[in-house]
Amino acid sequence: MPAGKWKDNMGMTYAQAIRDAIAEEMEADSKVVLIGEDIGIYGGAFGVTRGLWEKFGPSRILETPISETAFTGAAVGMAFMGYKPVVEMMFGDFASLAIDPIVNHGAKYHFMTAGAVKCPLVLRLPCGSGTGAAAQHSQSLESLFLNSPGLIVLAPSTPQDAKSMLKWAIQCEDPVIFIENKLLYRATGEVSDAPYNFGKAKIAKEGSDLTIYSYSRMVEESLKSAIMLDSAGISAEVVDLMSLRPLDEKTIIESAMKTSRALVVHEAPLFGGFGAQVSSLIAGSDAFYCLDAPIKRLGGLEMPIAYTPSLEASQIPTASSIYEAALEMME
Amino acid sequence: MGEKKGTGTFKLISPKAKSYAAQNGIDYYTINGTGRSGAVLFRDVVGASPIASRPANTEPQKQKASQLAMRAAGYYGISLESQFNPGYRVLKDDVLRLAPQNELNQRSAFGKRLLAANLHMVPFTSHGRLNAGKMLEALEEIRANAAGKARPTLTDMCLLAAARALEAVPRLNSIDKDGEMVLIVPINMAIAIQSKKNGLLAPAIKDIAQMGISQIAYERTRLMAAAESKRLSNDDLENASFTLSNMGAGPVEYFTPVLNFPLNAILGIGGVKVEPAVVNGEIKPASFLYASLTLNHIHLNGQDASEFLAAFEQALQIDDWPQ
Repeated sequence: MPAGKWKDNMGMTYAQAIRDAIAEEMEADSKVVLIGEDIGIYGGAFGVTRGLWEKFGPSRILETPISETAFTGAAVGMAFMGYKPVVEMMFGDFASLAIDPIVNHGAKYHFMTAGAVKCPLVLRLPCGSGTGAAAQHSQSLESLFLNSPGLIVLAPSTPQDAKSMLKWAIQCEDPVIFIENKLLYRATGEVSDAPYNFGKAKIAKEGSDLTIYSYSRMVEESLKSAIMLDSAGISAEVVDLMSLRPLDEKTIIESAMKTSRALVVHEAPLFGGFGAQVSSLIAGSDAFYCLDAPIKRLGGLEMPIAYTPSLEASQIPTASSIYEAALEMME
Repeated sequence: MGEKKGTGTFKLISPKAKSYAAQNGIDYYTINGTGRSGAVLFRDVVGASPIASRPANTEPQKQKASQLAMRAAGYYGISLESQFNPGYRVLKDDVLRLAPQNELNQRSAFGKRLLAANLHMVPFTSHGRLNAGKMLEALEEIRANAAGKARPTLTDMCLLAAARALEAVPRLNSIDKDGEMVLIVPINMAIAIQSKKNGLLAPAIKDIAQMGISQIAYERTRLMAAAESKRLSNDDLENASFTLSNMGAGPVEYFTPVLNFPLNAILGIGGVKVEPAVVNGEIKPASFLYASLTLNHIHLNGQDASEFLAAFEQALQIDDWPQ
């Protein structure tokens, strides 16, 4: 059976949704260009941009030498001059090489020029572990960008969100850090043309006993754990944060007030991780008076991602570890 | 604990419980907390307040129960509500007392599920008499060298060979999803286990194609022990893509395995017999394995069965079994 057939039955993949979003925006606006390594003929390290080269060619897809600092810097410059570059980091980890153009220039010029210069740029980061790619190719580096005002940070968890959020991000006039997840690329789901409701979180599953806050691939694990919790008589609500900056404070606080218990889950290491932001938001709001258990955070272990598959799998939260943490909170 | 704030220790209480106690004029210092470190939680103050003043949003009242009791109740599918006095904190043993009868219900539920699944499948079974001599020799050698607890068995050899065959014929590693055939990657091979206490179960060995024979033996032993002691996790029981059932230990030669819906295929291992065979014009004793393969004819055909059994037989002839 051809590889494509069973995918049709399950809807569209996350990678295909991203590809469609890029293709649609490139067709709609000639200022949209792709920049990155091996994104043309080869179709990208994860095959996300496969087929776009044949359609748009070298005038719209800029294949660059292996220097993230140079091509991200060039992209920021192009954005200042009116283009809408979409930059693909081969691995999200290499974003550390692009910190200066993004943080010191892209995020700042709007403010430094009183809005005269815009930076409509999207930086796509394939993040996350689980592919056996070890310490330097498996990180979740969203926290690097979350402390820079001026950057929008989005982290879709489903093919539908990936498409609508990326289309929105490409049209946006501000720089957007777009957190993708390597293991989600093959996740499938129905995808429509529904627009993205910017800045809103989503209640992925309703519940009444505790709320699990999560984003990107950990939403999937949280939903699995919620099914396990259901069988233990615990009704868990799962909130997909979707946008990390800005953060949908209203939805977060309301859910905590409803369930009285908050568990924040992400793949990035716990210390200094984004979960602390969500926790402090809840603890500092009216939701504090509704809490019936201390807020709990789950994240990656404090060490680089291991190469050995069994160690790698044990380093980040899973449905089982979320389930155990939730049970502990219900005690 | 029990002393007022400022005079030393103070009572641990959750913000929610404290707000509720303040609103309802409840002295929470007199309440025994059931939370971590004896903290007073919402459930404790609600229990202490007169029934008339209980907030409406706590209805329907949840039965108080220990974590283990709730898990046990979830496992057996027992509702704790209306089984006990409302104020009583249910313990695991209370649930277990209710369990045996309920387990019978669960069996009939399994039967009902099979009946419903029958509407979505057209099973047919193909039998194969397969050369097993090389595999049995390899097994003997592997068992002689096996250290540790989990000594590989014929089942493990068949599991590995079936995984190889599925790699060659991936169509069989699939499920029925709303009438459509959906291929599954990777190979998660369920193994039918008749546990003495808990009936028939089919936990899966995940991504079995990546494993060597000793790892498969270890995983199979773990699943069998877990099935017997009711310690199978949801993860163990989910996401199977193919089933293997071995009845060969008894007098059974061939049988017609029943599909583990929504899976599209199940391989039944029957007897192993030494029989006369013609080898190079001479009659010699040779070992044969009787295999029965049931497929869902909605998605798979006789050709698929033939290809799989051929690939399975070929896989049984491996020279170097991966350890």
